[in-house]
Amino acid sequence: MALDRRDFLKLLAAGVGGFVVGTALGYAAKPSEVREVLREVTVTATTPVERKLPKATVRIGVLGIRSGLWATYGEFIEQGARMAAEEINARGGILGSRVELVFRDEQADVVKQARELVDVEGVDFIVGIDSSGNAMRVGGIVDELAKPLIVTHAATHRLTEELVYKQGKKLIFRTSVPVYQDGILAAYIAKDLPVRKWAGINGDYEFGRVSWQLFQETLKKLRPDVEFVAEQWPKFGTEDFRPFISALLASDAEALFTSIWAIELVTLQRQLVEMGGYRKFKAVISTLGYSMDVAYALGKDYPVAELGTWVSGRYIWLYPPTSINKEFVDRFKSRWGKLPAYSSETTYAAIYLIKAALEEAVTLDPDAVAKAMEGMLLLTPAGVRWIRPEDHQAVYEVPYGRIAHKGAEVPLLDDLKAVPAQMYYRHPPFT
Amino acid sequence: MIDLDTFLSQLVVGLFRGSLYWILAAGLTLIFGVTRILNFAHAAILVTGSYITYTIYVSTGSYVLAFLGAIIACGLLGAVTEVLLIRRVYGLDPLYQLLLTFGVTLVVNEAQKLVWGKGSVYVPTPEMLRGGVAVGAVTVSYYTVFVVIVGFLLLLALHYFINMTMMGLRLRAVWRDPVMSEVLGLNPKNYYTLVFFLGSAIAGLGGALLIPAITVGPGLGDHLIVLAFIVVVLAGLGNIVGSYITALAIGVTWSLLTLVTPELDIVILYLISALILMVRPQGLFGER
Amino acid sequence: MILVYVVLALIPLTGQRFYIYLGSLFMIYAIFALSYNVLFGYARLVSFGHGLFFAWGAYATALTTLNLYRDPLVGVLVGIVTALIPSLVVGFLTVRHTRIYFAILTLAFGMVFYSALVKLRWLTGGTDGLVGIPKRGVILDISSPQAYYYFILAFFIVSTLLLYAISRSSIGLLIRALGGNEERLPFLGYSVFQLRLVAFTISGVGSALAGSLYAILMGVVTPDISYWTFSAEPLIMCLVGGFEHFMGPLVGAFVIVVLTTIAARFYEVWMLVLGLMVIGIVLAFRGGFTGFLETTWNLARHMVVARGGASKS
Repeated sequence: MALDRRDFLKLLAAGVGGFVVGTALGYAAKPSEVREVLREVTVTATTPVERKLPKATVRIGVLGIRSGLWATYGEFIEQGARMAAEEINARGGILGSRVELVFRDEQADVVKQARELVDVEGVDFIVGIDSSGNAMRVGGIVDELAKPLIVTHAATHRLTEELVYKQGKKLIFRTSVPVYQDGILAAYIAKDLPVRKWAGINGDYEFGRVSWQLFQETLKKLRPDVEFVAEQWPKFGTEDFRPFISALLASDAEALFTSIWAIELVTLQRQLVEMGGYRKFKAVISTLGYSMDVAYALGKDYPVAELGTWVSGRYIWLYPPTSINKEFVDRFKSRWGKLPAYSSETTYAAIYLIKAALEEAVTLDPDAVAKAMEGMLLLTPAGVRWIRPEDHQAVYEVPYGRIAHKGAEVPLLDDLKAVPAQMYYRHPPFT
Repeated sequence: MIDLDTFLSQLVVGLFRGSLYWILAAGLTLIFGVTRILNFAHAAILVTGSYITYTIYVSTGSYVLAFLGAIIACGLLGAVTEVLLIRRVYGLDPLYQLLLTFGVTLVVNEAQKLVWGKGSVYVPTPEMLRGGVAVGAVTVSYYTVFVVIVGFLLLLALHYFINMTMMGLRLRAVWRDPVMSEVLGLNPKNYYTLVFFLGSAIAGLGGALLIPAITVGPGLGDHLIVLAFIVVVLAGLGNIVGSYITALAIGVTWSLLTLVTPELDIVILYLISALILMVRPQGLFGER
Repeated sequence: MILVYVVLALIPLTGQRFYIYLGSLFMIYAIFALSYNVLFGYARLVSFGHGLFFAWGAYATALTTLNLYRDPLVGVLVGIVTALIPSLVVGFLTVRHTRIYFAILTLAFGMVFYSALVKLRWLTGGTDGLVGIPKRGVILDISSPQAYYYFILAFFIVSTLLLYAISRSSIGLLIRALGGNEERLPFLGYSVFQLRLVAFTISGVGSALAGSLYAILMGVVTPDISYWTFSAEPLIMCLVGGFEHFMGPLVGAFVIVVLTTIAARFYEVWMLVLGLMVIGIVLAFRGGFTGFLETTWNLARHMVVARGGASKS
């Protein structure tokens, strides 16, 4: 992955610019709430030994999808969690306490699993969760569980906007960027593309609906001349998109937007190519198109539209071009044999967030730990994450990029476009 | 309102999906017709066939070998299941039999994950079937047409086999009257195993045809089995020709519906099934 | 049966919150399975759509407590009473058919309801569901785990006694006749259709009660409880426990709750474990636990009597 100097400087400028704007806006918002402590998340950080936690082990429950068509995602979460725990334990743990992970499948009745993790396995934190529905279910009982919940994939805005901000469930956090990435930021990309008529194909469930809705709303404001001429709603878990593709091709759309992800996205892309979608659509925006399972599965056959196949995720291994990120990617690659998937990094960050909070609070009391997490600035592979105190959503930016085949093990991205997170995230009061 | 090109391409897509459902339902209906067992694991066997196709193709590079391998392997899988497990429950209530096959499904799905991993697998379209013909804005691939043709050939083959061969005659005898067949010297038990082999082999064929068209992941069968059951029941249980027509009809209707009412496709399908069954409870082609 | 009540009443005293939760879950599933069995075990009609009624109860309770009147008791009562509507409507449309056709019909209705729950996002919250179902209400405050456990237990006792009474009553006998000798019923002056409809309605309302209690227990409802895979759960419980006996579904609910909890510890392969357990159960027990237990019990009694008789002579 050789970047030439110009690209590197562009990326660096974007990254630094984003960081500066982001923190500036953050500081401007609530100066008293943003703490000026930067916690460095690398393996070189040393821990003071005098302060100790009440227990010799810190147990963290990890939930993810372990069965069925999306089983890879639970594994991504596990990889990130394990790597973080191994690194932390190799350096003396958290204030001398060992990190232990307990894994469960969120598909085996997530509420039962969450309760068992807390009440029987005695975990101090719950981390992970792929499905938005499951995140809402566990979030609903978080006050009863009385342990901090850090979501690392589920993207529903309702988790943070409703449960944390409106209902005041202060134990919920999220380290991964939510549906704003799929809906709102995608519109910023779309506005610069010389196309006017958009079609959308999204899963017929909340994530698909909200992504398309946010995309439409935002793009209409940015480019009033745009038209949305067709939309299709395959059910969640569709194995054959042909009838939907055929219907879209019958419209006069020039470009396609999709929030479909994982194995369904792989199938969708292959079928789009087969049916001539890439002759019709001049541009394609695939919001989770750079998820590593998709990138590896499609490989050199990842289709490229005339004006680009624009993809993103919740973290892109190519960005930001910092040493922290590069070293993380290298370590991950040698540990697990593949480039890190986005939910591996978000879970990795979550474990380190726990470490940072415990080091500050020096207690396992959930409310104190949550207070410590609020407003924290964390230096992670994905960049600087700011845990926004209003809704406990981590604010960091992830770019979109254009798929480009350069002979590497996965397709790479050109023209990375990063927009400062504070510009495309929604803000309180979320009306 | 809908131009001819779109209609035609959607029609072909519908026939393609219908043919896949037919192949899935054919084995199911064959097994049920003779043994009265509804094999819930049937779709899981089909998906296993896809996985086997993938493995053989990756190691030998030959589609033909992969196809044949999947067919035989699935046939054996079905036969082994019958001998080891299904045989023990012939006397039981059909629901217990269904429960057993449900347990088998869980095991097979998990086995797929353990053997082939959690990621997706795929086999590229065979060389000579690549590409397609442009119908308006849609390219109808040669492969989809190929699958439709194979589906039809399967119908002819099954029909010929069941109605015009000695083996088919024996199967029909066992189906109609197991007791009498035994008196006449046929051992129903052997025929049950045979029909499980045949039905599962057909599923294997379906799996081999599926994987160049659809990316396969563990547990994919669960998304297919319900529609297979609906086809079998709507057609009238045990009816081969009826199943073919019903499967194609469902495929085509569903495809055309996405053109007209994109929001409601699967709902309408269920509603139509419900309506048909309320009006004609024995299914479209069944006998009372 | 009294033994069951006593045991259940004692569970919260252990103070173990997870087991209190499992107990609550068990009671809800038991009510669901027992209600389902009125249709399945007695009338021998297999439905794959009872998740519809469970979901109806759950959503009715959720919508009532969130929008109309903020009290769990009222929510549950609304759930039960309004459940008469879908029970009668769906029952009316489906019970004239039998066996697999009935099964597919009920499956279809269940899935249509699922689609409605997913699509009417403004009402149901779509796939993310409705959140924040309260346990602290105007009339009742059952926000502690023990409190809502006993809340559920109260309904459990009442509904199981009711169902037991029904099974022993003349209506119960008539419904059971549907399963055995339905040809005779018209000769005795009874309408098969009406009896089936009664059975269907009882099972529908009972399922809705289970769903209402479930909504309160979870605090959140999502559409997947109307999906056919959830509808299969009471069927599996009745099969595993034995559908011939009144207690069968209860035993089945218990077994399933226990087995799924144990299997889930093997987070990578729990479906494999569960599948093997299911296969094992079907092969070993050939008719559900209670049938097996009864057979062994009778066998044991015979042996004791025989030995007693032999030693006397």
